[in-house]
Formats: sequence, C-alpha cells, structure tokens
Amino acid sequence: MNRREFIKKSIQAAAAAGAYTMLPASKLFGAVPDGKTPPHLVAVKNSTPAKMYAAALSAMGGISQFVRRGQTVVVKPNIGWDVTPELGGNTNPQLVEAVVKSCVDAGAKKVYVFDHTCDNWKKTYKTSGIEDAAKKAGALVVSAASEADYINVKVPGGKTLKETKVHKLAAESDVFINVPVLKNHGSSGLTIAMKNLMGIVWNRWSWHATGLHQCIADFAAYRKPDLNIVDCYRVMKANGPRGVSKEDVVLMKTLIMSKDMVAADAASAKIAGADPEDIEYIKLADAKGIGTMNLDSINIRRITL
Amino acid sequence: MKPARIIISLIYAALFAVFFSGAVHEYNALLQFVPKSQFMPALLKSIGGITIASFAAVFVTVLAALFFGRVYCSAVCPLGIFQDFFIFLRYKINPKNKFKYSKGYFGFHLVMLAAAVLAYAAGVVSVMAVLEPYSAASRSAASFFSRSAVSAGVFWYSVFFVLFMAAAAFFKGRLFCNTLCPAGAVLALIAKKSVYKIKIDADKCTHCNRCEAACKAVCIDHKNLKVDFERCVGCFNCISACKDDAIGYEKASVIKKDNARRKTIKKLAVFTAAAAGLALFTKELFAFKSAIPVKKSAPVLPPGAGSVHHYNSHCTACHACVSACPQKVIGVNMAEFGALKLMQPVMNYSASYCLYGCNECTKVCPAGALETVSIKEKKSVQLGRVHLIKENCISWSDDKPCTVCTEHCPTKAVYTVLHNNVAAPEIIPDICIGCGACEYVCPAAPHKAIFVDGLKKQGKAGDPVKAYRPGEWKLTPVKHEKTPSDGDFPF
Repeated sequence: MNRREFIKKSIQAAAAAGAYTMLPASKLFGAVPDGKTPPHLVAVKNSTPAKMYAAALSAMGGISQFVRRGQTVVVKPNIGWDVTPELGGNTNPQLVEAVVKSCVDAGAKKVYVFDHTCDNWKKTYKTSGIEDAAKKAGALVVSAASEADYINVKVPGGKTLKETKVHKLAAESDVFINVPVLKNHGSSGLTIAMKNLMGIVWNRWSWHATGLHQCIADFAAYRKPDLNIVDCYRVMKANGPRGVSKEDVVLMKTLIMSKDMVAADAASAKIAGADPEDIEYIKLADAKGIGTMNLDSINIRRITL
Repeated sequence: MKPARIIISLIYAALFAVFFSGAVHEYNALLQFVPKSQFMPALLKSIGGITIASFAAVFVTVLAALFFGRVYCSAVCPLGIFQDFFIFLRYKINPKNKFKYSKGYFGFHLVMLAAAVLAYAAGVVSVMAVLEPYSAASRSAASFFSRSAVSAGVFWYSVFFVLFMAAAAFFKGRLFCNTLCPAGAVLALIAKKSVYKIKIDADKCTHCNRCEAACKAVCIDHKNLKVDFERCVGCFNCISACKDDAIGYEKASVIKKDNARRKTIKKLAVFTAAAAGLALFTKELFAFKSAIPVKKSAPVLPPGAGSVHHYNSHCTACHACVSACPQKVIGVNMAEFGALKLMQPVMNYSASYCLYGCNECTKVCPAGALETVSIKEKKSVQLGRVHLIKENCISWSDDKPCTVCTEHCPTKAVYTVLHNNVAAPEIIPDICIGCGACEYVCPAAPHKAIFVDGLKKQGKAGDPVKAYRPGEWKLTPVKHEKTPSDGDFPF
C-alpha cells in the first residue's frame, strides 16, 4: 500500500464512518432499540415537563425516529397570549426548551420556533418565557407576524377550508413538531394539537366566521405533524383560551405524545375531564380519517414517574 | 461652550430618534427622560399636579435661564435642534450667507404667549399643542415613524409643519422661537432678568461682524455693541465666531454678590408664586366649566387619562404616548373633541387594542395628561364599557359559532353562552376594562357587533375572578371509570 492509496482508503473509511453515524438508529436496528414497534400514544405523569418529555421520547424510540442530522425543524408551541407561564395560557417554556434541545442534539441544521400570536408578538414571546427558553436551547425564534412570511397552500380534501396562507417555514421545513398546550377554549371547548395549527395560518380568524370546527378538521389534513407533544403540565380549566387568573389553572403534571393528532386530542381531552365526543372538531377529524379518537383501539404506553 | 452645546443637543437628538424610531418596546428611565425633561409639558404638568420629574424639568430649565438665558432652546428643545440642522446646512451651502440684526418682535411674541396661556386657562390646549415646540416636533416624528393610525389630516399637517420649519430655519434662522414659541417667550422673560448675559466688550471689539453674521436669533447688533439677550437662544455660535475674545457671558449689572443672590432667590420666589397663582386661577376656571357633552360614542382615552376633562386640559398633543404604544392602538384624529382639542390622541380600536399587561404610554407622558399607572392598577382601570349588538353578531344572528371576542377578552367580561346550540358571546360591562380587544377582533362587517364606548371618567372594573357569568357554556365534565392500566390515566 503506497502513501496515495493509504490516504484514499483512509478517506473512504472516514466517509463510511460518517455516513454510518448519519443514519438514524431505526434504519439500522429496525424499529426501537428493544425491538418492539413504538406505541401509538404515550402518556406520562408526575414529573417536570422536561423529564416527562424525555420519558415519552424514549418510549417512542428516541429523537432519531423523528429528526435526522442536517434537517430543518419547526417546533410549534402555543404562544398565543401575553401571559406568564403560571397562567397556563401558552406551552410550558421548559418543555419547549427540552424539545428544541433534543432536536439540536439530534444534529438538526436549524430549529425554528414561532407562533402567530394573538397578542403583540414581541411581548408575548417574551412574557411567555418561550423566547428565552428556546434561544437557550439553540433555537431560532422568529416572527410570524408579517403576512410576507406566509405562502398560499391548498388544503387537500377541505370541505370548508380549501386553501389558506401558511407560514413558509411550517410549509417548507423537513420536520414539523407540534407542541400545544392543553387548555379550555371559549369557542371550541378545548384547544389541543389540531387547534394549535391555527398558529401557522395567517387569516385564521376567518375560520370563526366560516365554521371553526370544520376548518380545524379540514386544516389537519394539510400537514400532519411528525410528532405531537401535548403539554398538560398546568391545565387551564376555565376562562380559556386566555385565562383570567391562576384560579383557572390546575397542576396536572401530564404529557401526551403521539404522531396522531386526533388520538392526542382525544387523550388530552380526557385528561381535562371532558369527553372527546363533545368536541366537534375531534369527531370531524376522526371521520375524515386524519387519525383515530378511539383510544381503546390503539397501543397506549402509560408511564407514571 | 459651543462644542458642549452641540454634544448635548446631539445626545438629545439621538435619544429622541430612538424614542420615535418605533423600534423600542420598553421605555426605560433614559428614554422617558426625552419627553419628561421638556420645559413646557413639565410646566403645564406642574400646574395641574406637580411631580418630582416635572418639578425637576421646570426647575433646571428656569435655573439655567436665570443664570445663562435660554440654553434650553439650543441644547434640549427638539424643534430647536431640528432648526439648527437646517441653519447649519445654510452655513455649509454658503458661508457668506450671513444673518443680520433685526429688532425682533418681542411684543408680538408676548401677545402670542398670552393667547396660548389664556386659551390654556380656559381649557383650550390646542393653541399650546400647535405652538409648543417639543410637542410639535414629537408629534411630527410620531406621525412619520410610529406606524400608528394617524389620520391623514394630522399626517399632512406634520408634513407641512416640518417643511415649513425647515424652510423658515434655513432662510430666517430662529424666527419661530422668537415670535410664536410659548416656551421661548416664557424663557425670554426669565432671560431678560438673567444673572449673566452675553455681552460685547467694547474695548476688544473690532466690529468685524463675525458674531452678528453667526447669530441665528438675529439678536446681535455689532454696530451698537448690543445683544438682545431675551432673544438669544444660547447656541454660543457668536462666542466661537469671535476672533478677539470680545463677546461672552458677563454679569448682567454691577451689583454686589450677595445682592445678586438675593435677587435670584427673589426671582425664583416670584416665579413660584406666579406658577401657583396660575394653578389656582386655572383650577378655578375649570370648576365652572361644563364637561364635554355626552355623546353616545364618546372617545376612549388612553389609560391614566383619568377623565375627559383632565385629559383635555393637559394633553399638548406631543404624541409621545402614540410612539410609546407597542400595540399602536393610540391613534390620532384631527379634531376628535372638536376644533378646540386639536390632535389629541385617543384609542383606536379599529387599529388595535390595549394590551392587558402593558402601561408604556402612562410612563412617557410629560404633560401629566396620562398619569403613571402600574400594570397591576391598570388591569382594573375601566377605559370604557363594552356594548353588544346582537343583531350584528354572526353567532347570534347567523348561527355561526364565532365568539372570537370572548377568546380575546382578558377579564371574560365577554364570555360564551349557547344560543340555538351555537356558541355566542354575552357581556358583563361591570367587569369590562375597555381594552377594545373584542371590538378589534370582531369580524362582523361593515359594522362591528361589539364595541367599547368611552367614559367621561375612567372607572374601576369589577373583580373578574369573583364575577358570576350567567349561562356560561362549559364542557360537561365526564366521570371516567378507571381503566385496568398502569398509572391512573382516564383512558
């Protein structure tokens, strides 16, 4: 072996090793490390948002199931209102931080965090604690307050909502992770995973005028998130979606994770003490085949920490 | 002295630019200093109800004037700094374009001051609002940069005003400051009795005309070795221009030192008494004045305004609040209160709404029209009361479950009920804070179904936590039978 050959071989070996590490674990070992197929839904109880997230994620087979090296990721929390975390009006910042961090650790090229806020976006990003938490974990926290950032998209199979304007990062990113908060909602009953997608839409208020439930169910077919992580840590049980005071909030220390938004919404609704059957958009989405609200028919992994 | 004046004025100009850039979301003490250090608003505020900030601003400006004349006009006044820029350009374009002494119009200036003061005393602030230099400058900046809902009238007036002032400064120097400006007139009266004045030393003067040519206030008469100090705006250009060290500050008159101090104290006392007298006089007049006539749709005033009466009689339309508002909800109409209350800002709920946890506007008002209100206090201040027109509402009249207004209401004074099995809004005006979120988001067109009506006097909203909301729609709680699963999950 001469020197040139040696260098050539070394480069080949290095390239092979690099390629090997870039492949997600699932591609090499089948499904999950322990060989089982991952559960349809994971429910975790009794710990901090970050620890419950870690437990649920490992039950799902780890972040490598969802994020690969070099991909762009959008993490979409609910950052609707200019309220502090104790009021439960937005996704828990610690959860957002943990989600972003896991994506960064998985080698994501860029992790974006944004929401089309209801209140003033700069104030809301700040007050919610999400801007600081996400930045700390390495996310790019960007605005969704300018119509210029939205692009026209078709909604496949939409009954009422046939086309709309979606934030281009949400439309174009490789991975889309939905991180809603479970809370009471004066118009729709509860806001969870499907309803949270209104935050990537520009003119979502027209949904109210044309039929809120149908629009939520229609839009669920546009881009199913690669993963839904429902924050049920502090749950606003009344006066939602904004909340009036801490008295509206109950500490439930729960987290729901699923690739299926409908199942995640159904399970979360039960956490909130409601019947998913009472929430029209869940029924509509189930009927459209977006996912299943029949929790008895799916494989659920329940974890109490 | 001239470099010092230029440095201070540039710092002011920079702060002013930051304040009105529209890029700021928290108005810290340094930025609040921009409006709060201005003479005329602080003087008016002190008359209505003195605060440490307003007293300090008036005290420092008056003290400076008592000793050195109208230094405020060149170092602090934003309109003065603005004019100086064009005067600087005039000099740069053609250094031979000299200023020439004029006798001035001091009598006319005093008449204008009297007019502004009398109008103000009678509850008409608009004369002050148009002429007061800080407010005029700040309002113009707000019109151009705050991206708020400024009416076309105010916008075009600002365009006209800025062009007019630029041209006037370029061709006539500080003519505005010595004919129309009420702050200039008050300070001129004080400067007349100033302890130190700019004087020409007859022994040193070579009559080279450099000082007179450099005087934008056209108050130096080099031939007669005379400086009309009441018109001097304290720019010190003459002192730098003089090659013979012949012009500069001198004791006003040859009097004994302790006499001078006594005189100063006397002047301060007279000033304080005059201000107190004016305060009593104006309070007396206001007491007899009837308030704004009750209209079905009274304008909603920004937080801290207290009452229409208080607001109208203090606001100099400087629009610092318009610039400070992160929500851009404080809008401006030309004559919302009629022609006598020109350009005073009001809440514009078609443009935006007042953010529940924000009090930025109350932090920046220099004239005391908006008193400082803490965020905690503000959450229960009632700016107006909610009204619902069910005939206009798509939930009530079109059976579409909208209720977007209920989502945005921070106190749930607007909440959800069921009507024909459709979610619909209902209201409790007593716990409404009048933030206008419901009105802003209401999709009903062309007429809103829900709106906030203004109040003559801002009130206190009831406790939203204790409030009972009759017929409120809630999801029926479900009792879940325990599943034979690991952990106590309801599924």
